Amino acid sequence: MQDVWVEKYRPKKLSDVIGQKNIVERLSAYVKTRSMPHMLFAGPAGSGKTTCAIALAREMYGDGWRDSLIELNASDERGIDVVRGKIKDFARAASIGGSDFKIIFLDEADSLTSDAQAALRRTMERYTQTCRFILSCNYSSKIIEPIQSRCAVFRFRPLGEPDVRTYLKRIAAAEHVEVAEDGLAAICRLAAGDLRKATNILQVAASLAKKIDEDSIFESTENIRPAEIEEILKTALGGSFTAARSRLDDLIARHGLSGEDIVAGIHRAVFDLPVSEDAKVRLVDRVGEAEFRMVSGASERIQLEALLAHFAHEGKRLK
Amino acid sequence: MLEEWTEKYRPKSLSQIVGNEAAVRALRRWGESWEHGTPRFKAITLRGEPGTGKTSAALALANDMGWDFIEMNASDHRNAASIKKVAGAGSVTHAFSASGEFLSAAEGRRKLIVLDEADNLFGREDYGGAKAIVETIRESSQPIILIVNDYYELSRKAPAIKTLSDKAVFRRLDGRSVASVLRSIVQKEGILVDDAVIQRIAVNSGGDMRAAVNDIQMMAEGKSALGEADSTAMGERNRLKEMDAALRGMFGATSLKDARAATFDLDETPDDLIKWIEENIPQELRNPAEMAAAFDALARSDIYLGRTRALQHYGLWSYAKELMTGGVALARERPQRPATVEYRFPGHFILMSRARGPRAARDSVAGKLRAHLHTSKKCISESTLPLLATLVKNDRELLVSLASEQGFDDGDVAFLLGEDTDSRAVKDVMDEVKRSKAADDVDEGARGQQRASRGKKDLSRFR
Repeated sequence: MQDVWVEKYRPKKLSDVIGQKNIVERLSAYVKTRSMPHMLFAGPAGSGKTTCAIALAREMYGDGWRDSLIELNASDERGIDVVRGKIKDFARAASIGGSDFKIIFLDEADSLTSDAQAALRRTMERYTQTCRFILSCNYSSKIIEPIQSRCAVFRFRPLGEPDVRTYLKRIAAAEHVEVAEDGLAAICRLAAGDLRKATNILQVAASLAKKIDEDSIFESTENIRPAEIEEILKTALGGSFTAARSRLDDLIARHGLSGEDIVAGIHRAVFDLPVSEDAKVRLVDRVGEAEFRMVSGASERIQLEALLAHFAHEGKRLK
Repeated sequence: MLEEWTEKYRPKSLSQIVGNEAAVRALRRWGESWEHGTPRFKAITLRGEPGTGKTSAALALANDMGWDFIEMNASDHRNAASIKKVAGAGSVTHAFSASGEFLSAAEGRRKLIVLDEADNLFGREDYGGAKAIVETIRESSQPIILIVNDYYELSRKAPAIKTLSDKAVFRRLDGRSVASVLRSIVQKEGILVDDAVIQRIAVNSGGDMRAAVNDIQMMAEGKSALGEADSTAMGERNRLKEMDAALRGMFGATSLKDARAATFDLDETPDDLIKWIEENIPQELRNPAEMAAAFDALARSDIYLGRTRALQHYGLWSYAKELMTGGVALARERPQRPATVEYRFPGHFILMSRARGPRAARDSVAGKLRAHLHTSKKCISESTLPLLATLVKNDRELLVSLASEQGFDDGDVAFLLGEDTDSRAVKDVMDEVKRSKAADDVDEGARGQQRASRGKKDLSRFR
């Protein structure tokens, strides 16, 4: 079956969920007792919120789970009318398929207006007999306090590198692709704890080659290799602005990279440069300024040049 | 087995309610005042933060008194008509049972009307809802309980409620009361729970009983025993405690990477986090040079937050985060930190909640003038309202004319005059508005048009 790997390998059982051990344990207990409170899943992208909700429903309801789980995305429909109309109608109708209650999974609940959230809070209490809510959001502070008070709040943490690696290896084995150690490291670096992103990177790289290493990752994602960026920055810090610039030009020409890609690469590299911590703060501010100006429509090349000139200037201070 | 513990263990009688003795006493006294005919206050307003027991107390009272009850809340369409339909029918003809079924008046029991979330009467959609509540109280022959989080919001929309209803204030419960309730629940459920866990949940709840009961159910249900290790999945409800650890790590960091990592796990948006750091820079960095450098970094960070919002380009958030954490932490010149630092809750959040009333009043007036002045709410708030406030203090005729044309209520007039909603001055103006409207009814037509053109002329200079 051809599918997006994010869906193909989305864990079907709670026990297959990566990381979030404590949360998974609690959710499994709910399955056992066939009962659960309203829940609020707060955490960054790709940390397993949707996956946990779906896996919970699968285990709670078995094959008919699709009849008992309703997924709504709040950022598509975020007004108070939706809460008073659609959500309330779902909530009110008794569940099908023999279970005592059904689950409404409200993704991106933090994008509901506060009026809509206020209306939601009572719907949650009133229809406890027929349904449970799982709300997901990036930051729980975006959810009004009375709703938080009605929910069991679960905090999803960004996934650590070992967890991301475990998952990538699981997929690689199933898809018969070979991923070198430096390839895994490169994916982890780019994904920064976001499992969905990591999976997408792996699938794109695998579509180009069955053997994946650092090079193929950076090539397929149109990212520069950290080593290359680092070299350019060190050249600039050493005082050779023109040399740094021509290497950068070369890089852009060779890989067809956008200014924003390069700025992102420079941003990641700043933290490990051999300069003082104070200098890093100044440089980060400069990098941010360059990104802001590019996004606002400034010339990418001039902004990158100005950035390199600042690195050269910072290098001079070092001496 | 699917029951929520917050429902299962809801107190059945006022005598079972833990804490808030004064509020419970006031509520019981009000309830008993109904035993001898219709009392002075036909309504009582229960005010308090989430999870302090307002709804429980209302239901417990109904139970103690042997009353039926009808409940309405903000997820129902709460316009004037529907409030009157439900509450009016229930209160005047005694015609509904608790489940909303028709009963004959002969059954004669009192029906308690509970208006939950009475402060949540939304703008246009619930237009007239506030007025309907006031009228319902006036006409009702049945007890009415209003439940609110934000008393100010309600009394601004319906100032008469202050004089028409008794009130009881519910405060956040202390940790000991919360813990005692949790202990009795787990005992009834037959679950052995480590007392450290109970304490942790109680403290973590910040006095929100419902949150605490939800937390313990989430952790304990289906188990026979619960130890310390089980409580780590719980989301931190108590922000200050969690922030404390993060801020301590951040301010103590000596590298950009460490400073950023210290706040990485927090459940706070950068826009909120910056307020915590802003509040606490003076606690940590006490010499002027350090403080100036720290605030400089914070100001740069703030610029990135503004740019993120303006461009909707969230890539810029990371620069904001790095400057507010690393930039601030590295502003420290001397390696030693102050011996003890007590972090404080951001004053900004407190100011914002205090300013919520005036802000809402300002928005209301600006919204009503928008069409009349052919300009935006923002423009009216910023440039027109200050001038208008001065003007109407000296030109009463203008105020009365505007109020009747644009439909100002007591709150709007009070805002423009800088007076309390229930003050004499506001009442006088509103009476005059009423009189001028009555006069209009007699002589519609020519006069109305005249007055409309006058309003326009007077205000044209503000545009």
